[in-house]
Amino acid sequence: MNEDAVRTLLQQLGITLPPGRAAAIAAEIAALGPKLATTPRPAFEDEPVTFQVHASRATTP
Amino acid sequence: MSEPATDPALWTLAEASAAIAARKISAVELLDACLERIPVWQSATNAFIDLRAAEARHQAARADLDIARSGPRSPLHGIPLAHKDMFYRAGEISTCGSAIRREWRADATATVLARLDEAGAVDLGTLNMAEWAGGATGHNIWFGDACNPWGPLRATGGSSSGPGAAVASRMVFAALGSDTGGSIRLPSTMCGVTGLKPTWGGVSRHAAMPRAWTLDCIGPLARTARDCALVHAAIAGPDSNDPTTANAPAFTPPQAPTHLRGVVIGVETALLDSVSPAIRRPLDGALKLLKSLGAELREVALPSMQALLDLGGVISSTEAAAIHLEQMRAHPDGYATDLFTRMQSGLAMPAMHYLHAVRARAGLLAETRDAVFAQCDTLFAPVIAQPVPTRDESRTHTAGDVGRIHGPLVRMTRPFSYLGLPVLTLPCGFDAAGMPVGFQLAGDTFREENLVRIGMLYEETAGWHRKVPGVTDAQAQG
Repeated sequence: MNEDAVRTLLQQLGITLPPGRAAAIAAEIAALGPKLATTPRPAFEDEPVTFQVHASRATTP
Repeated sequence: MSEPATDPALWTLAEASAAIAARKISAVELLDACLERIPVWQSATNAFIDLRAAEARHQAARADLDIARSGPRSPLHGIPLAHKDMFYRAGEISTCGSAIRREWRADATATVLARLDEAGAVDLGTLNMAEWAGGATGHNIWFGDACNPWGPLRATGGSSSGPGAAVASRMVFAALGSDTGGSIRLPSTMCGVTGLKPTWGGVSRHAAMPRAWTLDCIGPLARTARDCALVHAAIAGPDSNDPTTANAPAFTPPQAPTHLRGVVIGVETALLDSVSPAIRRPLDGALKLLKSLGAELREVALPSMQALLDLGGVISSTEAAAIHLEQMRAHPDGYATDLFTRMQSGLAMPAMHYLHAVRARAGLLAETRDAVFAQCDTLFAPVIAQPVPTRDESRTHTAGDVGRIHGPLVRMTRPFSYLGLPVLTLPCGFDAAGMPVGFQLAGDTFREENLVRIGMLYEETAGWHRKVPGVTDAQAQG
């Protein structure tokens, strides 16, 4: 996502960014990509709710 | 075991509760002991946003009548508490530390407050906090910074800044805070008290201000682990008003063990080795004491530590931005600039990043269980890597400051938030400047009892909870 895309997205959401801020956010999100690429991949079947189910299973050991 | 103090305000909650049950002190007398401290300590700490002394006196008098008639109905009956100003009470103002909500009145009462009311606790008022619980330092431009009772120029930690300061200065016996990435653990550690971040889903969040739905936990800051357990027992458990609460077995405050033989404590060596030499000695002292009590210390590594931190950050910023979008649009000037700026990043977060962070969580929890909790009862880790910062050096002005200041503060706390695990923080001494140092004990989901049990024996042996800041600390220049 580049600077223009960030500015346009936030404009659509009704938020006006001060000068320079869109570029900073774009850089911040771009930096996240490589970081997240090194994190363990979820399994194909994993759903967002899996964590809650997994956690609650611990209540009946 | 250390002896109780002569001033009732300096007792632990458990001691105060026992004294009420034995009719050695009334709820009104106990409240008066707390109120006597407030003029000096409120001025020194700015812990309260709204002190409700008259209502508290009425509640205490009613508690005395009820106790005289049929005895205390819980260990909290007649005990003065106050809470972070984000737990709603129908008809009352709840500011959430924000200018936008300076006059906002809630139309429902938080389940946690209703449960404390039912237990007979006395509510002394609302406590300071980071704006919208969105900061790790305790600064607040709208209501003034909360100041650390051990040195007013030092930060309290956040976001439960008022609870940390109010409990440490003995204005109240315990306080509820919330923890999304460290907001109970940071102020409890930086103010030298004990904090319990429960398992995600263990305590109802109904009518409590949300910060990030899948990370938020509500729990106590108190003088001891035993006190935290008494408060947690009153608030924990399923709630039909919050469908995310788990059907976990009821939490019962445990008895302190006489030894820790058979207990395996994992030590996160990489985190421990990363702390400043200025705070290392108290942490080593805590480990030595735990070992002398019989615990086996075993070096372990929290797997995927950096991933836990990064993914937790993605969830935190995205959920917070989603919660705040409407208000950001309507009241852009109602936010502190640094917080408003931080929220903007969450609004632009790609959905794929967020969903990756949410989906990866179950696998990372399983990995952590295999690597740590399959062989250890608890995991020992520092809470912060540096001494308590001054308020000036931890003040944020720009987006860059936010990453530089808040990032390092949550480095050791956010991973456990992402995994939804329970964590107990305990004080373990002071650095050379006289500021508190603490550590955290993390456990597997819904194993709060284990943590409290270890914490109770540790604190009874170490006695750090008996150290109370004096007026000279409050007046010292940092």
